[in-house]
Amino acid sequence: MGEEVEDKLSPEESRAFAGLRREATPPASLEERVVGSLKEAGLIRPRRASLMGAPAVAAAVAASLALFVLGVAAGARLFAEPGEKAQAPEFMLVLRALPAREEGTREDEMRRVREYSAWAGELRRSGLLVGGEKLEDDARVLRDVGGRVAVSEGHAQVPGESIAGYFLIQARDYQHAVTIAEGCPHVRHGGSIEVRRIARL
Amino acid sequence: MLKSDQRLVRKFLRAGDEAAFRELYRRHSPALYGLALRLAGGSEADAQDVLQDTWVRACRTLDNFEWRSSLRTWLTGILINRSRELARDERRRGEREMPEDYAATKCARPGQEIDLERALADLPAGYREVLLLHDVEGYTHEEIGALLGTSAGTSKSQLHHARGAMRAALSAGRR
Repeated sequence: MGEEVEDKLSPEESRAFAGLRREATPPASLEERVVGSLKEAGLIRPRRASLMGAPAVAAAVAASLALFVLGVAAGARLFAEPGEKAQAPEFMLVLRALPAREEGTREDEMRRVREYSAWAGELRRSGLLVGGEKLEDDARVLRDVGGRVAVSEGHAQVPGESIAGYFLIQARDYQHAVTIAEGCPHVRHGGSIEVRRIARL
Repeated sequence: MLKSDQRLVRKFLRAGDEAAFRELYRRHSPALYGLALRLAGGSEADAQDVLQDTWVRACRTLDNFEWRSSLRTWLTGILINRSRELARDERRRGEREMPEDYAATKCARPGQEIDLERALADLPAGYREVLLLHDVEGYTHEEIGALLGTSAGTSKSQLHHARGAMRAALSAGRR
């Protein structure tokens, strides 16, 4: 039994506590991880297909076939539409290099790499990561200069704008892709991430 | 219109309904994750493990939940227990590592909030729990006693000591 002691917060302390954020957004991949665990444990069960649903499925298959034939006949872009429904859209997260002040020591860099790996590992476990790599700093840039191709070497981009790496992910839509990208440690370290949907041609 | 927690839980229990679970998850996870992060001293990996285990445990025992408290309070109790277990396991293995830059990364605004986050992250685990639950999450001493498996009196006493430790840390930080 504890002693009955109570003290009160000062108005300044109360304001400070009231100013703290109560909520934090967990990474989107965590929801998939949790749902995956519950499915494995049999706590989330697949919906049983009802007899009423069967004609609808058959109709959808027929419609897909029709669209497929129409797509092939009418060109690649039409063909891409039903394909997108069958396969989750893919997005590329283009990681712009950190500003020089964020580069830090080798140890800092290794710590960052571990953070990125942990984040990517989680995405992989939840089946949303397609691939990703860190890029070396040096680059070769090809440009047309007066009708001939000129190749420049070294850091061709403005510091803070060159591409440091990329991740290829699957996401339902842009919003989902952005939510996933928000969990990446890169932005917290001062870098920027450009989210681009992969065009299906 | 939002479906009540009870309705969603019934739907989940009856059919293992994924959509009902996802709605519950999205409704309660931001608050639970915020608390898990602070209990874990800012370790995102630990907080995510704790949140995942909390949901899995909760779903295994949901059919025994009697609605004597809100679902959020019940989930919070599970989360605190899981956080304690994880901290104990990590202490045994000597693994727990507090991110040095937690306060700085979580609180972009300058001033007292950073000091307060740092002071909270540095508190001993027992003090941190009671201070977070009372002063940040707004639970009463009776609720905290029930959540932590102690009494309201112990919660009051712990809060007094926790605030003392926090004030000392804040005052040392300003010098």
